Amino acid sequence: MRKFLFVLLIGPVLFASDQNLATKIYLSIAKELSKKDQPLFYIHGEVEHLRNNQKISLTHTCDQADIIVLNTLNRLPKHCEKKLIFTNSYRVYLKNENILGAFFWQKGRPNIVFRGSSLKKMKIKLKPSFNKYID
Amino acid sequence: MALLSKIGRPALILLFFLPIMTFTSIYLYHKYTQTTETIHNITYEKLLETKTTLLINFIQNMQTELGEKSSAKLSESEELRLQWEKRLSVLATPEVKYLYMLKYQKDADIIKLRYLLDTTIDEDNRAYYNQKFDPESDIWKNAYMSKTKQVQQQQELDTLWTTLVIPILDDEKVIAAIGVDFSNSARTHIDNVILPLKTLYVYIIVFMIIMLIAAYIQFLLYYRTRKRSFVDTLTKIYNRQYLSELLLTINIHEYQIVMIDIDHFKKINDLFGHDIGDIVLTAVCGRISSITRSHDIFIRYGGEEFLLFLHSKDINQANEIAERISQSVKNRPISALTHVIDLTLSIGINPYPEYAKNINEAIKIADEQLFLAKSNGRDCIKVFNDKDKNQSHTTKYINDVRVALEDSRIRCMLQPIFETQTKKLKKYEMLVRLIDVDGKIVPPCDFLPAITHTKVYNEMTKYILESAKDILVNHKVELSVNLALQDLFNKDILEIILKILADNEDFAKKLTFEILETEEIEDFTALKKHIDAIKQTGAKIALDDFGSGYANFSYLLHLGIDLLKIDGSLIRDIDENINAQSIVQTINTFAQKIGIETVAEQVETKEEFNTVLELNIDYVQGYYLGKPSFELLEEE
Repeated sequence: MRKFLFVLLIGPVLFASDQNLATKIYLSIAKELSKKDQPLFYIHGEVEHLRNNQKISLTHTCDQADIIVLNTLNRLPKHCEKKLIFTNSYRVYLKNENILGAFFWQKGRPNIVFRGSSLKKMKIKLKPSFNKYID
Repeated sequence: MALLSKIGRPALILLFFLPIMTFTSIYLYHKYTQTTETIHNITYEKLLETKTTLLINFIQNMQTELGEKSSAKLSESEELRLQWEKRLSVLATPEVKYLYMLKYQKDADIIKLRYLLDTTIDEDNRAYYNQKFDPESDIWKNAYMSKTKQVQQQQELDTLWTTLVIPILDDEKVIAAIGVDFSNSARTHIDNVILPLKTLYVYIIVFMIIMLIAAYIQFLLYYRTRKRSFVDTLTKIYNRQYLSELLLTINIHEYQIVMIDIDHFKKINDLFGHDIGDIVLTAVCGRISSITRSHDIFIRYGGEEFLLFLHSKDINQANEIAERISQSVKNRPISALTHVIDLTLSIGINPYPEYAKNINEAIKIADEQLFLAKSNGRDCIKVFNDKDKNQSHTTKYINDVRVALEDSRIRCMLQPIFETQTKKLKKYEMLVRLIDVDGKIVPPCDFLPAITHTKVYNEMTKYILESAKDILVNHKVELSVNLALQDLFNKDILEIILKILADNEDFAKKLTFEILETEEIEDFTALKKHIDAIKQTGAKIALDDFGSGYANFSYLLHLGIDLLKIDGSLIRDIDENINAQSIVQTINTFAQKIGIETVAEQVETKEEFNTVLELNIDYVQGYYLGKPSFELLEEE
């Protein structure tokens, strides 16, 4: 399943570990949303495997970030709420209209969801291969 | 059978039993894994079948109760969803990890799936109503397209075993589907139940492999030791022990037997010393070996006596090889350190071993020919005559002794041995005699050489010991029985002796074995071990004919001798021979100092007796005081 998803998103990646796979999916999503080759990540809350990850470019301030990955909106500066926000919790995604999408594990399966209305509002057009994840 | 005897029991275990057991274990383990997989498959099929039936019933009930467009009705009413979610959760048995109902939604060309019902209790994995579901494979699409049940064995998802999808049709169109994710627990449960069996198999295989390796190591060590034990350390050719093994397997019909002896070898030892003697032996063996062929078998039979099994039935060829062997030694003197020694060989050939009753008898016939060669002035070859093949001396005596044993014509004469000082009877020496069919007494020197190493010889030894036992049980006397030194290296004889003496200490204490040495001791350690075994039963050991043969003072020190019999050649005319007196006195003094009693043999005159008395010899034996007789002198 992981392989299937990864093939679908960013091409063949073999023998990736769980964390590597998640990192690559996040990276692929961020590139697609920001349209940048090396998007800057800002990690907020408990998204530990990305916080110290060497494979992504991290920033310490949300202002400079191309994408914010979080599991709560608490204490996130107000002015950053307009940025591209992704979460690892479907519950958080449902509660906050500002969150653009979510990547989370449920029933042993990885799930990706993009909020269609927010994409339209932010005028973000995704590649056709992402269409099945748009809600 | 011959092959099996040859390779021995350890090899048998190694070659057949252990590998078979190991491969059987591995095969059983393979069958076990196959059976496990079959159990998994049966369980899997049964589980799917049961669950499919239940879910189809559930769908039918739901559609009966909700009517058409059941999916839409569930979407509209939260109360209805809770009600049916509760009913669906009844089917979430322990082997089911997740049980949920999804509705299909076609958006442009994309088929999307959304949760309608979810019985999952765990909050992290429980989906919201209408939440999008990302299918991990095509089974959902296939169920939609084919309108039939779909099954997917999960390879990629660690915690899930199988996913079952049952479509829900409304008006011939798939509107929703029930998904069941089976957990690995069912499989794990089966694995746990049969785990002890699996562990047992693994242990057995590991054990068998270790055993196999250990057996191979043992095998190598065993054969290395065995091979070493078959080779004479000095000459590097096969020894007599190998002959014993060979006799079990050899097909004597394919061979001719050649017995070879180095003429006057004792003189070489006496003249030049044992070191030179050893060099000569090695050199002679080397020359003979260079003439023999790879399929001939060359054995050191005794001190300077060799046995050659020629793999040929051509008598001329045997003669030719024997002649070449003889010439190879005769024509080229042997250099040993600073000495150059001329040697000759005496050779006896038995070209017809197949006519003998057994292999020992066949060897005896070759030995007989060798004896004839020696009697004929040495340095010659004697071949057993075709005309005599049915009646050699050996065959004759073996038959004679066999019949004599059956007819009780093997008798023992008893010669008394007296205390010198008191002339009081000390014991008797048993002297074996054969009474022939005409009643004539045949001395042992006539028949013993012919029967040595045969079964008859062992039977006769047993008979003599049984006779000794009878005498000792019925009379208050002590006895001496003669044993050739070679008897102590004969496993069968030793076994007979120890068996008769075992558990009968009273009998053993009154028995002395007189050992006569006719050739040099090669394996001193083994001899001592065998003597100790006899002495442990309570019997005593005497050294016979001391002063005439190979025995020396070192034997007295190391072999635990109880009694020393001084040879008659030293006693004869001792009253007139000052030198003999000196030698006997030296022997007696030395023996008494180390606690060994002495016997003067062949005391035939009063003068000899008086001299022996003066020399303080403990006991006397000889015609002067008592001749051998079939009867005891007196009853106490």
